Amino acid sequence: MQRVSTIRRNIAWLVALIGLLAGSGSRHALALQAEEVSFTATAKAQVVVGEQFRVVFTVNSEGKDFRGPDFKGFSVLSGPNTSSSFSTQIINGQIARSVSYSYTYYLLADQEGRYTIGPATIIVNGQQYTSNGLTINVIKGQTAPKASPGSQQRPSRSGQEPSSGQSLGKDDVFLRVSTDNQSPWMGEQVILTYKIYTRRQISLPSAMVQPSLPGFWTEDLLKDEKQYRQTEETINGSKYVVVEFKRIAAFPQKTGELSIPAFEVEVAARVQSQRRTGDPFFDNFFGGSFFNTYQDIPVTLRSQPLTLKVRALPLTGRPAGFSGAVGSFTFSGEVDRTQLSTNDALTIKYVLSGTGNLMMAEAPEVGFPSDFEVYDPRVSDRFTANRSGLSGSRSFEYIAIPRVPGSFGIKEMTFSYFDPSSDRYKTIRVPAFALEVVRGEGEQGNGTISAVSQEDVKFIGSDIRFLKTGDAGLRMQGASFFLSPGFILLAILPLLLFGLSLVFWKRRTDYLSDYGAVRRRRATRLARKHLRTAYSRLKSGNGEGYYEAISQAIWGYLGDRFNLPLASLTLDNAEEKLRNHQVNEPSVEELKALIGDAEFARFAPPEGREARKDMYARAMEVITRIENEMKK
Amino acid sequence: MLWLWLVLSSPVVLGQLSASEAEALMDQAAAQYQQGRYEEALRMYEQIESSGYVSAPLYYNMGNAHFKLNSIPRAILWYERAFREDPSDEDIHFNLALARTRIVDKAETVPQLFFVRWWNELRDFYSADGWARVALFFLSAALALLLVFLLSRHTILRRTAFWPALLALVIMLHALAFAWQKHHIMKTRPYAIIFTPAVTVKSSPDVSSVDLFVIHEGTRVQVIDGLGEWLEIRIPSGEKGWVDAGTLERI
Repeated sequence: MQRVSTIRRNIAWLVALIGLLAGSGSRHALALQAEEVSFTATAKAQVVVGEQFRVVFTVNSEGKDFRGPDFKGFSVLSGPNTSSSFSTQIINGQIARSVSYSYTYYLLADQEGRYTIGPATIIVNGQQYTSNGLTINVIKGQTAPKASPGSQQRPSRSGQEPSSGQSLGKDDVFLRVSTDNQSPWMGEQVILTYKIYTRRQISLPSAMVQPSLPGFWTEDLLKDEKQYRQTEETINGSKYVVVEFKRIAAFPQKTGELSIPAFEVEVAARVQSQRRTGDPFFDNFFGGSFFNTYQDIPVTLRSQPLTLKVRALPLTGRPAGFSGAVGSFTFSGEVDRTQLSTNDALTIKYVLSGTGNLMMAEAPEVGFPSDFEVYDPRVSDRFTANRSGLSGSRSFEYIAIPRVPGSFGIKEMTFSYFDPSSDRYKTIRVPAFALEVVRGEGEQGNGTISAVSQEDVKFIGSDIRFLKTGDAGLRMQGASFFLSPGFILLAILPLLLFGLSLVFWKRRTDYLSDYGAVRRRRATRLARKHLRTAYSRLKSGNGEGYYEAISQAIWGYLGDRFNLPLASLTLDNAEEKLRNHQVNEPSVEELKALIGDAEFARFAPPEGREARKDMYARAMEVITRIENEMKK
Repeated sequence: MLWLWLVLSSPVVLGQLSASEAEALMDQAAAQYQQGRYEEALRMYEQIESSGYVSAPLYYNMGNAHFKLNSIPRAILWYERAFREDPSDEDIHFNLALARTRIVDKAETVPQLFFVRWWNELRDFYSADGWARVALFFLSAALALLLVFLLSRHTILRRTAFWPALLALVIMLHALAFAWQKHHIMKTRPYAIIFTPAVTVKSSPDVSSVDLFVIHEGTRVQVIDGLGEWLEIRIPSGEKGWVDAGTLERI
């Protein structure tokens, strides 16, 4: 009986404490009062001889004066151990609390048979409640006795608990966040794992908020998992149960240092509370181990902050059509047919699949011929999020309708992405499709194009014109033609030519315009010519012709020399001209003599070859003399 | 001393390309360009250019390579140089105009008097050497026609030769003037392209002076005056101001 009274004292103490802890809000008390009090006993219906088992009396309200039944036929190993649990739920702003107190006995079945455990009683709010009774069937069996309840509890007590046994060490339960990549590229998938390490029995809240990750696009990877994954890990020699309760695929959306904020989660940790009875004998006798109570206390776990260094994608080698895809991808394309008639729909499907930031992929620009009517692509996604990350495919389906028959091509498509495993850009090509479009049946096969359907040339893009090939006309620098010696020479040359031709021309006109001077210049030459004729006649024996030629030479010379017309060519005129030109008198006389002799000889030629020859020599001499003596 | 000699002489020795080598390199560069390897093509063109060769097609191709590599200010610079060498080429005009649409500053030119504009447009039709050739041709033509006028005996010929001779003489004098102006521009290189992304133009050659306006890379400016590291510039809209000499490159 003494034991029972001790228990009662214990309970009373506890209840008082709980009342203090739970707060004395009248609203809560009312809520509790309103609830129906239930007081139940539970235990296994069948046990084996020698088996240890539990009988638990649970009441859903604060009670006092618990009286356990008489466990006839069983040995009581420990009990009643009291424990309490509180749970608070906030639903739509309304607070609902539920409390349960349990009184646990550990019993050992001694003998086989059918035993009845009587009801226990408790007083709640001044009213006595009675629990249900239990019937337990004890059977014979070979089951080895299990470890004692004391040893079962040991792990929870073997830690470095504070002496009071009520608080929780900070090493007992903690939250850690880890990443698979400290310095990802921008857009690269990073897997963040949130794990709770515990050495205690804990309960997790059923609904958990998502950690907010500014600067990231996130995807929950555990949304399809039914239960949390538990593993065991040893840290600093202590064994921990590790619960991975969050796994997130995060895609950084900007470069630089991105911090992952600390994440808080509230768990309930079961703590053993040890009470001093105030009776040293009692405590020593039981070693404190029989009167353990357990309490679920809320603990807020906070993860350490984490910083990721997000690297900007390299600029070198970045393909022209790169749009920010990072990961590992495949890209394919197909057309449903390559031969079709006008106004038939053509379906082209491009599929991008792989692992990475697929959700950022935009519809590719398909190089349709400009005579095709093209509709906006239908984009369909098939993403799967599993523990290893986000993967899947995104497909783009285009529908195009050719309006004009002919041979067309859909240009080659490329998809470029950055592969973080090799730190390189990669490009996948989908080759061009050749299409043959024939005129549809409904269309009229008019060969000529009517003026109405004529179209302007469509300019699709603007680009610079192509290189200049062929002769580049390379020349060395500084070799400017303008003002170079060559230029000056080429400038002076025409001027020189101009001047020279002017001078030449002037002279030539002057020369040509003066007839007298021409005659004068020609006089001697003509006279000599006539004399030569005379000489040849002399040789041939033509005497008459000889003298005629001589006189012609002399008269011709005089006429030409003084520019005398034939009419005024007389001996007197000639004599006057000669005197005017200061020809010496003997020469004039000689000339007159010669003319007279020549005239005479024409009609009476002298005999003898020498005499004839003399005439020729005299003519030659007199012309030369006159020419020399004459003043120009 | 030997290494010094090597250092001093090697750039010249290595950089020199014979005319046939340069022509071969032009073809190679064009092949690289066609395959989309613009950087290689550009490197080859620069090699030719650094050997001291001048040619409008070379400059034009360099502009194209820069354009494809998306360095628009450089592309404009080389197109302008190509334009200076051969102002009559239509492709150079086209690409220069296209490149100018890709820069920040809108080319806002002050409307010039019509005859000044005509004069300038006419002047830009040929390079200095081109105008020099034109001048030589018309000099010869004028003198030949003058000879006909002066020396012919037929009055009809003399009459028909006089006015053309006078016209040829006038053309010759203009061509000479154009050539002289172009030659002067080539020598003083008064135009430049801005290369710094954004340049604050100051009111005087002093860092602490008043900021007048901001111009951006690719803009063509006229250099009017210089003082130490500062240059006085005039932008197409006619505004004047001072900038650091390092912000621009002369055409």
